[in-house]
Amino acid sequence: MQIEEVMRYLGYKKDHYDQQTLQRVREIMEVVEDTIVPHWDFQSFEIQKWSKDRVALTDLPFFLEGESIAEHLQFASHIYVMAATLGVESERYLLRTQAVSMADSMIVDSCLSAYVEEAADQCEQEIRNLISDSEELTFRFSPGYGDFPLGVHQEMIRSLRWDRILGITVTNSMMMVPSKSVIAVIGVEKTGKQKEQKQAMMPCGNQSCEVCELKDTCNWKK
Amino acid sequence: MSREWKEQLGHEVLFFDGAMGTMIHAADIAVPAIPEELNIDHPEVIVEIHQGFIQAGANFITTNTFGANRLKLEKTRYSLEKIIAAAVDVAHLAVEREGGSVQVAYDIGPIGMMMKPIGSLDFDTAYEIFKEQVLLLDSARVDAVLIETMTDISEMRAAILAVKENSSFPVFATMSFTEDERTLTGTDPETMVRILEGLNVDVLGVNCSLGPVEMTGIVNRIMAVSNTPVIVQANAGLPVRVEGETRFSLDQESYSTAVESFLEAGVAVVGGCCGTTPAYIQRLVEKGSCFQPTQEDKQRVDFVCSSTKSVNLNDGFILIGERINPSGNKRLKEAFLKGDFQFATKVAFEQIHHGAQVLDINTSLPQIDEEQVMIQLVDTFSGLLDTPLQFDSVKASVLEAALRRYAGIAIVNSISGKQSSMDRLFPLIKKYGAYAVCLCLDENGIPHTAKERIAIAEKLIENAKKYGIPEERLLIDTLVLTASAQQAEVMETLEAIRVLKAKYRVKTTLGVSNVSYGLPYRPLINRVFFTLALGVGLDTAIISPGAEGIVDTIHAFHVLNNQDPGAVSFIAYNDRKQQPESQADPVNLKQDNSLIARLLEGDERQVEELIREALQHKAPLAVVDEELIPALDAIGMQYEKQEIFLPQLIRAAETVKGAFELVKSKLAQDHEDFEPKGTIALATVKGDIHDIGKNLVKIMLESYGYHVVDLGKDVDVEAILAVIRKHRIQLVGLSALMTTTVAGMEEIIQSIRSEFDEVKVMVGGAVLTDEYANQIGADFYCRDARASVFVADQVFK
Repeated sequence: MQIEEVMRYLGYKKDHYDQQTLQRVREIMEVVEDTIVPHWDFQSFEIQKWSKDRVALTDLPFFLEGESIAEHLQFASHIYVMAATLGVESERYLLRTQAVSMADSMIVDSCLSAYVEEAADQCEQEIRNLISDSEELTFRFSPGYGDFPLGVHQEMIRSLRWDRILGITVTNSMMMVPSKSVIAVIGVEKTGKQKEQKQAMMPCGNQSCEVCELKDTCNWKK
Repeated sequence: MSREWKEQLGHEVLFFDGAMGTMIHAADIAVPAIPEELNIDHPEVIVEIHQGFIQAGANFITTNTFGANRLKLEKTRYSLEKIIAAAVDVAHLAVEREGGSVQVAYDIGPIGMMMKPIGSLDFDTAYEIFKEQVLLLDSARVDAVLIETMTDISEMRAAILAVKENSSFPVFATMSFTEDERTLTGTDPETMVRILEGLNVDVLGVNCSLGPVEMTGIVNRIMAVSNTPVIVQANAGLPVRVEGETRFSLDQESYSTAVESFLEAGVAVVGGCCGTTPAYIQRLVEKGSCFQPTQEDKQRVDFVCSSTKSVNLNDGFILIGERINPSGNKRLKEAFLKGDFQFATKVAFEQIHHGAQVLDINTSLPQIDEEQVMIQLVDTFSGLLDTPLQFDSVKASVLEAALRRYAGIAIVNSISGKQSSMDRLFPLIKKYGAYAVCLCLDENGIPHTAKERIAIAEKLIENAKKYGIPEERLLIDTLVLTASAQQAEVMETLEAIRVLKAKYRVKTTLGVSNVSYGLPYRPLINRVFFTLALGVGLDTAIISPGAEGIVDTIHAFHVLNNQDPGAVSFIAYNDRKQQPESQADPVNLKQDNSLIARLLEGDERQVEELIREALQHKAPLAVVDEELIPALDAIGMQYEKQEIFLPQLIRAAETVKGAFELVKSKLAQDHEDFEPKGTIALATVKGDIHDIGKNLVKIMLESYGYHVVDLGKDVDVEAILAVIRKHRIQLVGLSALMTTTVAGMEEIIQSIRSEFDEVKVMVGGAVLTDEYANQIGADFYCRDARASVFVADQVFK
């Protein structure tokens, strides 16, 4: 975990760190790294039928709905569906600190957010290791981005048995529990086929604000 | 239907079938999102799968109902009733076609949602969902219920109770573990065995997630402690991906060889899980039939446990923290009255920090619903605390409500020697596998002599036995009388312990600090009495863990009693105590000793000192208006200018709380009340289970002297309306994190509007904007936690 990353999740501007918070962040990062084990899983699927607002995959009893995901996978030859999670222990840690200190719990929350992103990065790297030299990956596209509905979480979890393997569940209002979980779709494309993508990363790690649910309220978009 | 298998169980190896899911995927049909639909749409496929396993030699086949619950079947066009009936029908059709004596086990899998407090699924709802399935089963057509692949012991308990209370089916209960030998929610194999045995299941064990090789450690751990027949249903090894398809690493030969080692260890029932086809089961039957399950009784060791931790009652003295009891704790009482359970959590952590190994919980207060608060505390603590609990009430209904929901083995405090008490409570102890504090008093009160108290203890032991409760499960309290009033009887208490410990396998407990009531220098009396009690064999005590000298005494006693080899723990404990509390970072020891600087650093001691000083020459309310609020305002300005950031703002707001307590106690000395500036209700709306944002708002508002009624998270509209009525709320704050829950926010605002004209609503949360807030009819939008203070100041000006 990068401490700068955690401080950014906490809303800090660079060069405005205070010693007290920095010290606490260091301590909590250590606890998180010592006690919480990230898990992830991924699986590849062939695209059965692509249309501009829906992608059908072979062997999956549901569709990836919406123009945003279709556009994202426009040039993909096949795709990976991945999930990463910090597990129930991360939720317990968050609840425990909330009972004792809200200032600490904010830090825990930010550390965990950074940590699950790191887990997702590692998962993505494992996927990258599997593709050939003439292929490249699209960025991670998650349900909730653009018009890609959150409801697909539930279907992915059941079909890929992530409830059993990773312990990820979804509430009636489509929130993932544990909340520190990432589900995403990654396309595999022939190198160079990829249409012009904004290479500059947004501070949050996403590559575009357009697809983000937080685009109107985001702290980082400054 | 034959019930012979019950006689075979534990004497001959019994075989379950293999993986329904794997077989469905291998069949030549499109697999629907809800595989249970196949029971109706393609019954022949399921019948053939069952037949395959019967031909392989399985004694039990499992119905295709893993996901047949209300929630998972939400999107199917068939009723739950029809799907379940069809599942049982196809299983029977297979049995008829194949002939012979094969049992049908009804399969129950997880609901697919996380239980509270981590998730939103409530224990009662989970119970109802399972009960619904059980009530649809025909007792003549189902031979047993298999509850499998559970990862949350709490959900498992709900399922077991639903089966046991609504049917007489035998229960097979299996959980799924990860490679670190815990379930996904953190339960270890021994704790699982204790909790499942506590509920008297017929067969218990492990399935799914791992192959037999990876499962070896888990199975061995289960076998080492279980006195109940054990079932193992492993996957066909670990999943491997071959050309985009999931396959499993073991063939039937290596699979059955690995499972053989479980049979050698005495496992009573084996079958397969993911990846196991009839060929696997067939090989298993061929190789496994010659084994004999073990029948020997494991040595009884007594444990209480939470879902994630067991505490051995046979291994040295156990300290039970007494402080979650409103009668001795004014702040806790206030918190309970306000419906605030965070403070209780804080008290729990403090006691654990001081060395409590079990926590006593008492929620009796005349003005509150004791049972409701008990349930809420059990929910709050479940999954939060590792420490096992002891439920303390004079009402059987409260004790049962707690035992029912608690995902652990608890202690009940208490049962007396009165016949009515024993008749009411021992059945509960038996049903939930709990331990019980037993008081040596009866219809005639507390006897004077040790001899008479022992007689009552013996009556308790006898009565417990009638219910099948072994004496090891009783913690006899020989009752402490006060030395100031009944000096002659103090030693009788200890004598009774000595005799009981010599004669029986019961455990003993005492409420130690009673001894010093009415005397000066109480800690000294308590400590000496406690030491004497340890000397006669006291096993546990209900006490304040932070009380002077108690934990010191325990550590020293363990050395003298040969329980701390080489005095290692004793020395480490005292070395730790000698170290001064860590000083603040030297960077922060700058000259600026202003209130602002101290608040920003979160230096509670210094802040309190500054306020104490101010209180000497200013009226308490002037200290608030002229010192605290201006300091917070200045900090708020720094935050606005982005000189400081949210964690610092919140730290300051948290630190100011202690200062407010000082102001309040000063006012109390002058017989004045601290009038809050206003009362505000806060809630995270229904469906939303993240409440960090709401909690930050709460801290900010409280730091400015507002009283907050915190409704918590996942709150429905009725609860909000009730609180507005009860507390005559003028301002409500609502938080929602997701677009999916903002819609609920709008409905809440409409409901508030239709009932109350004057009530204002402020909203906030990640996806909200000023415009959006306007659209849903809110009066105010709060960009961040600090903005809520401006809103409150405006509403209550």
